Amino acid sequence: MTPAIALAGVRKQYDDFALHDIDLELPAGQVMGLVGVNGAGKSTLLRLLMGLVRADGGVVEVLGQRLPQAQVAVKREIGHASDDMRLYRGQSLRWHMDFIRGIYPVWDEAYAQDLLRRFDLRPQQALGGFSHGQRVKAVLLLIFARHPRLLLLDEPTTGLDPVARGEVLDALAEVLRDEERSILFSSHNTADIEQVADSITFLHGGRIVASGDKESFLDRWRRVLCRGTSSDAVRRLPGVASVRDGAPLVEIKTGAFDDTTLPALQALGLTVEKVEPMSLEDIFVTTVRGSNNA
Amino acid sequence: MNWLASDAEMVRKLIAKDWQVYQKQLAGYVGGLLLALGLVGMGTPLLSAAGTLLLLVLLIVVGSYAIQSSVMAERKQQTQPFVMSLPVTPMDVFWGKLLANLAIYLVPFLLVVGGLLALVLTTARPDGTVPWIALVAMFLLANFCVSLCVAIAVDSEGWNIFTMLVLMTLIGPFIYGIGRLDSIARHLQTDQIVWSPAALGILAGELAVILIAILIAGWVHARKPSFL
Repeated sequence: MTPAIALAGVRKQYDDFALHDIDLELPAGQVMGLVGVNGAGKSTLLRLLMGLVRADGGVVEVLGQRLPQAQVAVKREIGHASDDMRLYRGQSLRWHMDFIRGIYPVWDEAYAQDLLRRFDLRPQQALGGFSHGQRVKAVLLLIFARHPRLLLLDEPTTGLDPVARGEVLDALAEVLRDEERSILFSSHNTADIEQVADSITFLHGGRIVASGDKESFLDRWRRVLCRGTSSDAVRRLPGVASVRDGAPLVEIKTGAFDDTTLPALQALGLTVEKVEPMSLEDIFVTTVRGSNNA
Repeated sequence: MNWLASDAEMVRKLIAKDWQVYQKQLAGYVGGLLLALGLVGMGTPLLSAAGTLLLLVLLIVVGSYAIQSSVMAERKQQTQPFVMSLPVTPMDVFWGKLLANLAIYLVPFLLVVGGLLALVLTTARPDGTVPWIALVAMFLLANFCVSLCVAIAVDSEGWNIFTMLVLMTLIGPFIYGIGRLDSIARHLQTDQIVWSPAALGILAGELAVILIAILIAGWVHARKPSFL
């Protein structure tokens, strides 16, 4: 099956930032969460996938077609929302809906009306009077009602209040029921990513520092509390990303936890007190710090 | 590099979109221009001079307004990512923006020029002013087109405003200059419409400037590495 997104060796250089040799694949029907701090390169990556920015090198393929050459055909099948995208302040949401309907023959008016009710949006109101949350929901309505095969969502929940964030995530969850639809969802909010993503990619300093399916991410990572003294041998164990010595306990965070991990620690003179799963946020922070130290 | 739009129908929709977004403000300017034309038609020298000045000012202002609101403000207000997320190429957006602005400007422009020519040709005013009116009008159009092309091609708001101001300051000297050209000046008070070689040369130069500005803007736009 053709992947929804396939990037190979993609590079983009700016004066003060660079995206380095990005290799990434999003299988069709999957939801990938792109996690990174501000300035990590998430927006640049999504703009490359929309043909809004030209790569300096590498291959960008979206829905089986090469970008930027096939950008018109590809953009017919993509819904793109970003936190720096604004609608026309002086025009109503209804005007925007009619504009989009005129461009996309697949526009689903019944679904749009349903979303209007669920998002509690007034179609005749000018966008200038919308709150940030209402603007985000309006953009998502315009996208969802044309049933795109691929959604590229750049920080869609940033700046939303908890109610609006919940509504947006609920709407996303409903969209996800369509197994043919693929989503690349960027955020620095790992809770949102954890809620909706099948796979996760960590981006930092313009590089992919980790990528894999969510379950294996969460399964692999553990926080191990041991009694004893840490040594360089502990730090050299496979997958160990962080060792914090706080006598008498040593906190070890590993991204390669398996049946051999605990015996290996015991062999180095440590007594394992506790093994805990890690949250995605903790995994992300540990990974980023690890890549900074590398 | 492809200079042409990929989809003429999509370009038409982009033009219609800009027209709908800015038509209300445009209607206000057209109202002002009609008032100014009315003043010119009153016949008294004072009202006629006031009307002509108002026409000139409003034509300059409507051009600046169109460029500022539909090109520069769209960048600032971040509606460009929305437009670029549609199934369009950067050159579709280039042609859409260029033609939409030309349409927005040409409505009041043709109204003013047509109205002025009708006034001159149907009243006792000397018909010999027709070439002078055509040259000034074409200069204003060229002025608008160059400002528009710079605004589309160059993202910097500072450079865009600078270009507009510099071009505006050329209007006065141009009007003064062609009024001093003997081949044009000597027919201004007559009923004879004379297209002298100098007048035709200036007109051709103005058209060439418009064409060159569009070509350069298209060339620059097609090479942009980013379209946001």
